Amino acid sequence: MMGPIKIDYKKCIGCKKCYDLCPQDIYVIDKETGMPKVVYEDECWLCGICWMECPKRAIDIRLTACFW
Amino acid sequence: MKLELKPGDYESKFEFPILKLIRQKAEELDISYCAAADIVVPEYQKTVRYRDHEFEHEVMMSNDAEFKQAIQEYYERKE
Amino acid sequence: MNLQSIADRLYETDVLVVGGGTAGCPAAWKAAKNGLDVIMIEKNHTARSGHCAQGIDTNLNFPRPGVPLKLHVADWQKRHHMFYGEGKFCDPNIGWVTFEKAYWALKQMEDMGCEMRWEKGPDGKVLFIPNMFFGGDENQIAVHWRNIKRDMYNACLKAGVKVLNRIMLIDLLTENGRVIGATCYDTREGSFIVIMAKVVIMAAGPLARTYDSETPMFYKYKYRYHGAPGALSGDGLAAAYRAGAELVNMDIGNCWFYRLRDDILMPIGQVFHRDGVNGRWTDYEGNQYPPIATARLYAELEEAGKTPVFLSQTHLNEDYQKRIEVATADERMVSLKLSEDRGFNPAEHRYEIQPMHLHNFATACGIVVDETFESNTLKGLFAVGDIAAALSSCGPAVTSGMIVGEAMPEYIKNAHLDKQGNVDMNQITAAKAIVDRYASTPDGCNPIELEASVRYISTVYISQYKQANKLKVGQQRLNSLRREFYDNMDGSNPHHLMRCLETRNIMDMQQVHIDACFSRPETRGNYTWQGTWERDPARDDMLTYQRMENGKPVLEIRHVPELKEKYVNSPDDAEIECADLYWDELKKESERK
Repeated sequence: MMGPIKIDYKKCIGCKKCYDLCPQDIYVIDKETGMPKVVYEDECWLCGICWMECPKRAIDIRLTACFW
Repeated sequence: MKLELKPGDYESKFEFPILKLIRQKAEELDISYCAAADIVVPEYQKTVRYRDHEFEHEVMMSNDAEFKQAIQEYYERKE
Repeated sequence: MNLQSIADRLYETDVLVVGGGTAGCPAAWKAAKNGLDVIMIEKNHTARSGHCAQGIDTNLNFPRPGVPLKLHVADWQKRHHMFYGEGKFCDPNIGWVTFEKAYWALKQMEDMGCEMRWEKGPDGKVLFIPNMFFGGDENQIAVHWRNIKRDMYNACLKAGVKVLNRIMLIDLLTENGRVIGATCYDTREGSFIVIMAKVVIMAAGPLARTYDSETPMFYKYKYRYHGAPGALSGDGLAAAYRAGAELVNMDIGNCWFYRLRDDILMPIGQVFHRDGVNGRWTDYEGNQYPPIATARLYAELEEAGKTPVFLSQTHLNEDYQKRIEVATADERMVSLKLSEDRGFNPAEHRYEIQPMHLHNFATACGIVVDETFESNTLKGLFAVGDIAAALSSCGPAVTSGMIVGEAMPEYIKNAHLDKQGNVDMNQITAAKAIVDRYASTPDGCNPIELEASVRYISTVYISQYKQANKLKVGQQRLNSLRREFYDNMDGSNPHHLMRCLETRNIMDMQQVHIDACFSRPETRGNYTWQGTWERDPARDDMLTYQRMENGKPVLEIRHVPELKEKYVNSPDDAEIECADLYWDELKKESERK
């Protein structure tokens, strides 16, 4: 289902910048893959920090329906 | 003073010139959008021509006058 | 049981800074540069936290060189009065020192290595921007600080500040009316931390999350806007209050004049808000109205069948549209992307305006300090930035942080703080018990859901009207929420536990707010031109002061301080430190280019 954040794992290099910087701590790092995952999606406030800081531009941030 | 309105257009997709440049720079150098903006934004700002101070001053003063009038009317109404 | 056995981590330092924002970082940096051991805790990540997380564009509350300081202070007080009604809401002495040192603080920012991108006029001097609300009053300077948090963070690291990210404050530690440290929680590891410090600088930001955000919480997205939700849970205010610090003006809620329906797409520093060249308020037919937007005006238009109302930028020329792009890229770059997705051209779009509701607290509220920024009741506790009463916006945050950081070595010496304080283990075990309790309540309530219930009390039972009977019912509802859920929140993982601690602070501050509202009938219905319903002129210059004393809440209504004689007697053209020098240097820089 559509959420505010979509990670393109083909581009993601697991640098963890999104996880480190998120001001609402909505990410976790998957222990096995080392890849970031959004777990607290409902706490996202669309600040866009992960989107703009990702070195591989692997994060897409979208207006979900309720923000529209 | 009537404003020339255009329809509120929610249908067409619009692209900001500045964001287009930021995306291009990011792709070109394979960097984050933030890092690309660090390069693009100051350059883009230089393309903004000389500020029209007269225009701004006029708007500002008219805002000021309207504002003061609105304050006065407000207090008159209160009494 | 001793500290070493109960604490997962134990630190000792000279200065503890709580909050890594644009007040905390300057304070920490300055103190470290002056040779002190400094720890700064930040519940998120300092490089991208707080109100300036995405950048900030323009800098408010700057005194103009050549205008007497006394005039600046008087104007600043007047501006608060226009927002909140008759009376003086701020200690003028704080305004004085903040303005006096504003340019000095800018120089310190340069030394910090902050990237300062200035907008200059044709004379090569930095542009002042008229205050949007007061026409010709110029007190904002045109500067772009896109990466201010990144730059400040790097400066702190370089200066040797021990920055502890993802660390949440639980409570302050005190000994005989002096603060001696803090208990904290690691929101990643889930560990309990004790930090002993000679001085605590509280820089944790203001409070807003007892109210819904500017845009109400639809569906499940809990933190729609609110500027910077992480900075708005009032953690520092609550902890300071519980430890005995005095708070003021907690009866006065606040809002921006209006809410833009497509606000998710607009940054706070949108240029046409900030420099007097406003968007135009229009109704559907294109009739224009004065650029002050109030709930009353909206209601009148609604009655007359003239809503919806819009704000448009269509009259602005192309260069102005570009300036808006630049300002947006500098303060909230994501807005560009989301606007594109949303499918409109801001040059043509009409932003629908909707009536505003209270969504945060007055800028005049906060921890009571004197002009050295030390708490008047809790020694060793300093407050800088938005959390301090009378301070708001980035300029004063930086200035107050720099002033306090600079003053630290002298303060520590004069207060004979050679040794750490003696910890009262009861305070330690109490803090640990809070954390342990939340951690072992997996079937407790969702802390964010509880926060939503607290906010509902604000919406329905407080609002700007603060009617006495509604307040009573709201109090009853808060009592039952507290009885049922305060100790029963689900903190079964560190992220949730962090939210439990936030909600604890939010609930504590809601109680302070209701107490203040009960006590001040004359501040009811009082924001943005509503005026006062029950004004008592005898109390115009009196404010609501609240503190904890011997475990009980105390509320006093007292006069706001007067400007001290040393400032009153200063010459009319009392200098603003560095101002002219600064402008000359900027001018030389622009000539070089």
